[in-house]
Amino acid sequence: MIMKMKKNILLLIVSSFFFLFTACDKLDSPYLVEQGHDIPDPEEVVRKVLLEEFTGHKCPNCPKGSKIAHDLKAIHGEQLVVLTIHAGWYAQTEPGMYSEDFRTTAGTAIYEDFEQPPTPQGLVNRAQYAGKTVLSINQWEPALLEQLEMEPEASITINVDYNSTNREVSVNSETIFLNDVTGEFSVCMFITEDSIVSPQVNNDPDLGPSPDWEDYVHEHVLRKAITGAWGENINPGEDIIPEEPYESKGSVVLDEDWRENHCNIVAFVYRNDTKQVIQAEEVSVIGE
Amino acid sequence: MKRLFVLTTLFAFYAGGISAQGFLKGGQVHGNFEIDAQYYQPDDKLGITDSSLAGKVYGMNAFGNLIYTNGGFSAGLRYEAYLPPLNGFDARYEGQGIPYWFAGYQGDKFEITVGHFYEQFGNGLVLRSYEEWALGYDNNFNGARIKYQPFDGVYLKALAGTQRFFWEPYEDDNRGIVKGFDAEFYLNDMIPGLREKKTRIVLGGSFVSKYEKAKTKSILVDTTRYVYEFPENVAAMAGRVNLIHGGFNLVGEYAYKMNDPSAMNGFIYKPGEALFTSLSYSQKGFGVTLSAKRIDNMSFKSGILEQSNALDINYLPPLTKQHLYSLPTLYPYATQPNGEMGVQAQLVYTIPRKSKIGGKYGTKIEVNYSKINALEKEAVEPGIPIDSTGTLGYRSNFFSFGELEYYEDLNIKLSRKFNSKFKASVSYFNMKYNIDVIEGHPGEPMVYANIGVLDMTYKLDYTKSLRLELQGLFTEQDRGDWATVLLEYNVAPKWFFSIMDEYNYGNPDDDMQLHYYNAAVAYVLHSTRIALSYGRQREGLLCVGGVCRQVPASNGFTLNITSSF
Amino acid sequence: MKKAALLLLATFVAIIVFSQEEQKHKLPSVEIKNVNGIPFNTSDIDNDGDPVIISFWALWCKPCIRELNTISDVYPDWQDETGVKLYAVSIDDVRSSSKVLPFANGNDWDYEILLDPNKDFARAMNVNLIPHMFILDGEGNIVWQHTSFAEGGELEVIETVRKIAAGEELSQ
Repeated sequence: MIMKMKKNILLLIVSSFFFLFTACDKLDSPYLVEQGHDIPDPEEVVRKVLLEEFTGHKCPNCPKGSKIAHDLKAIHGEQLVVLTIHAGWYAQTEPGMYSEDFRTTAGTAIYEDFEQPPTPQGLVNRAQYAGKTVLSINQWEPALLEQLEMEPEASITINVDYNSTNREVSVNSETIFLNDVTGEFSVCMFITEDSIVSPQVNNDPDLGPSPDWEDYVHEHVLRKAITGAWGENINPGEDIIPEEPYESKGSVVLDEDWRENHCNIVAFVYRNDTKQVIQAEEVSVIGE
Repeated sequence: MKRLFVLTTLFAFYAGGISAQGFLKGGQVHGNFEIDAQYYQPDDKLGITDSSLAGKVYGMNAFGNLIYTNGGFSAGLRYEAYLPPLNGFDARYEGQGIPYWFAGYQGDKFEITVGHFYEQFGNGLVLRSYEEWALGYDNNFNGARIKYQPFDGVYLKALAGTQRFFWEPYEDDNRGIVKGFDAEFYLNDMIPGLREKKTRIVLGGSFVSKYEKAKTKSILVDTTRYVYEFPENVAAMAGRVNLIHGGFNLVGEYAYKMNDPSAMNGFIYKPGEALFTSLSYSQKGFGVTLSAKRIDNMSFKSGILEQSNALDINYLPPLTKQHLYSLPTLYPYATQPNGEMGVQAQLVYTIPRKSKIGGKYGTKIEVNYSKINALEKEAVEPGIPIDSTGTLGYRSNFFSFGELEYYEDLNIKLSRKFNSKFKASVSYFNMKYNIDVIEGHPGEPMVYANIGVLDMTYKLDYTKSLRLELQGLFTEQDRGDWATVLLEYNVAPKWFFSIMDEYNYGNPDDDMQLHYYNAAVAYVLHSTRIALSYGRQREGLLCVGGVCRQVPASNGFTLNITSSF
Repeated sequence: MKKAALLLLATFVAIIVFSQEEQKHKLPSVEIKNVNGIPFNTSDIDNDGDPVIISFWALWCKPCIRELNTISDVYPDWQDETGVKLYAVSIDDVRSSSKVLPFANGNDWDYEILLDPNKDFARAMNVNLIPHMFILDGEGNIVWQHTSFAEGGELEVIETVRKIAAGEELSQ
């Protein structure tokens, strides 16, 4: 009798597992739902998020990543600052089509600091998403949304002065913290170039020619760090004072093949201990 | 901290369990461990310099297992350390801890496990968790499992859990929860009238469901923003049959998966399907197996955005032979989870002893043929390209092969013992390898390779033997021709010495016509083995089962220690 | 991190020290399959009081196949002499588990073949590398184990089996 009861209880447990499975979501076409863009009022301080995209011109999956970065930029406008870092094995050059070297000392330093992940992957504010900092391309959007939901913590204003005679760019950024925060922060300033036409390996024929996409357009390409890969500590040993501007300065001479009308200055402020970015900003070198 | 707690508890429990012999009489503790360590050195020819090593001159992977059993009760744990991981292992393994621990009780007709466990439903098409240490692969479940046998011949299993993802503990958002149920019916044991029948029939069915919080994904089409609708629950089910009659054995399983858009399939909404069948016949001295399979959009992961070798819920076995010699493994096949059609035939025959051709000891013949093609795909609707994201993707006829070839392999092996001292085998392989698809090298042409292997063993006396392997690989594509010489000197059962040289003499790049030399010594005492080797390792793909690991080229020392107790 | 490592080490030491008191090492009970895919509980491994050899192998493991082929040549003599029975446990996964029986038959092996496609038995037996061989005495206690194989390695195996059949104590 007891044996039998035991048996029935077990059968009940086992079969109740089965009934847990009533859930399964069968979806019907259309699977894509149209949505508006949500670009905020330009007057108030908004959170601006930095996406660092690790890529390489010989990386066959990288155009997929760049397409996602491009779409996210189009959706979120100035709330997203994209920085494309060519680094790693697939960014190496070879004689012929892929002889252009897009790698930079600063980019490689950042790439190595994040343990040389396979490309394409990226960092969204260098913050953790689903337990990881280095994110695969499809994780960028949910991570970005998570970052955008947070309150702005600082604002950055970038002033650029371009001297067309000697091609020198002088940059001066002001970071203002909105609240009391503890810890040390650094400000980084990078120069990037858009719309560079140069070959890219591609394995997705839906996006463009495959395997070699000869007139590929490279966007947001990191060209040089103005104040080093890790920037400048703005409050060594001191507390941050809210509403106080923290200045960061530097200058750089444009290489002759960098086109000033396609160059931008990217600045961002990050926490020294976690490397997490709290605000980013981007302006054009020659002004709008 | 949590791990430390678990460790301490289990430690106390073990120590307590053992010393309190009177109380827990009959308990046993056994375990094993392995340490794999490498010291890397620069090698200009392989492109390894001090700066590319970036300070990483050592790598070490290690694990230790302990299992305590006492009657029906058992508990165990595995400690792992990757400090730092060996070259070629996922960097996310760096660190150490206890990724696997369990406690379980096995009664007469049931078994309960809590903690971590490995499981396989049927052929694994909808659920399999397993680990392959050599590949750094482990997708164990953390949760609970019940196995129950209510009647003779009926086996039920139910489980719920989350899967291992490197060292990342489960959180609400970072992966899904998997639930599964499996039933297997041995008709001959269930129905009295069938008990004595020669034909045995086994039926089985599985149901697996994954719950994962929906993620946001947008796409711009022209300038309009669209957001994907994702299912939070994805179900998969499978049915299988096994018929045995005399020397015949038929195995078949069909699996179906509901809409499951994911990073793996490019976010298409087509349901997945898989069919795996195998018919074999054998008698003493002769065996033949014919297999066929279809895989259609069957990647099933408990992480919709995951693209690496992790969080797989199911297992899609490749239908190709796993090669034993080093040069044929240069071109290993890995299942294409998004779709493939495959057939395989394998024959093993021993020409009897003392026959004219068979010789005094008999001669063995093994033949294997595999062919894997792409699926044939058609557009869902005119005007929508095949595989378009956010659509059903494509339509495909269940039984037709696509034109694109992925892999083809015909190989023959003859082996014979000539006398009590000398035996030899000779093998030939003819392979076609779509390196573009399998290894993701777009635009690279199909590799056609011919490979020959001669393997000879000569016994010097009762325990000492010499073994020589000569291998040649000939191809116009990829890295060109290779030749390999391997010489082993073994003193059974304790000492093993070997030297090997793989020479890529046909590499189209003159600078890469390199010798990959290696020398190794191993000492074995019962179940303890210590091996030390020095040499160059070629870049390549290491595959076991359906999972592959890219091994980068390296140069240096390797130490392996393994022991069980 | 160091703490955890130290604790583990301490655990190992404690286990090894304490487990010295344990004399009998029995087979774990694990539900696997026989070569036809019918359930088989490993606690049913038995040879009516004669010694048993359990050898873990796989189709992808060259030394395993050499070992089983080498023993196959002398297996009838071993059986006549000691009554020993060999269970060859394949850890091939479903990729090739249906090819195990045709392979074993094609090679004319007379062993009991078992399938452990998800390595449940191998894990319970703490098998790391294959070939890994265990020898059980007539009461089902594991009294000897060995990993790796080279020609001539079978001699130590039969020596051990002879000692067990003769009721001698093993020094391992």
